[in-house]
Amino acid sequence: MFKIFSAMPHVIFGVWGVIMAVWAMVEIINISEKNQKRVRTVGLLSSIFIWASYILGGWWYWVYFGAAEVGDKYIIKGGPWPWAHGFVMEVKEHLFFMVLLASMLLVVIINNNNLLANKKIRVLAITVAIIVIALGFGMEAMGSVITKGVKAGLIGH
Amino acid sequence: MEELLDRKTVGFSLSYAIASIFSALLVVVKEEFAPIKDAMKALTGHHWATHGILTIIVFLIFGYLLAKKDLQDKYDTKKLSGIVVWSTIIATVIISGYMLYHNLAA
Repeated sequence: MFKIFSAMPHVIFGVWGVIMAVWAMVEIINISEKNQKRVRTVGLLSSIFIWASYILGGWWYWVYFGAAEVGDKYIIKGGPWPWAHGFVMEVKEHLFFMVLLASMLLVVIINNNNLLANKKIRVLAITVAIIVIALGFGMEAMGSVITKGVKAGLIGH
Repeated sequence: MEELLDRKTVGFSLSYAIASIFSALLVVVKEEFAPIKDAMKALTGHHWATHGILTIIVFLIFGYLLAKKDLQDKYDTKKLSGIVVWSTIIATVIISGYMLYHNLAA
């Protein structure tokens, strides 16, 4: 039971990381004197949540996902969808690093530039936010496929 | 006159591109050369953990070093946006393409 539930926090933090990036993007598009503190706050929260997802997801991956013979990795590989690990999980676990780096870059851009004064810098910030959002949603989609791979492996068809 | 970008913005945007491509190429290298993957596993206990740590270190070090240089005249927001976007696309293609090949070949 703990194994199953302890996989969830990394998903929740990941989703919240993406939500904060969306919020930051919207605030940047509508930048004004009044919302600059909010831009910095949600930009930072996005990276914090994605870091939390990394730590919690990485721990679960290390301890449970790849546990010899009994981990989800082996259930998937022994089932009808081995590609859910061989391709989808492998892509997910390595693409993730770009989400993490992009979230940190967003913090750097937001906190070191006058976004209100320069539209082009806002475009750069929005571009980076979109990378976090697009790859973040990609993580969620791939995670869903991987979970179905486990289910398929357990059910056997 | 357009305001120059902050040094850290230029440095870490370039560093993001470097680290992303580094990470993608490291995927290929560690999968193709077992001793490298074994060495990465030996460093932290898991090759993926080592991969993450190395990628973050590359990002931070290059970001710090490039932020110390006078690059604001050379890189404007348009160039940096292009570099960030293209490095993301290229890294994604390398990782996805290699894993597809790796799976089909297995």
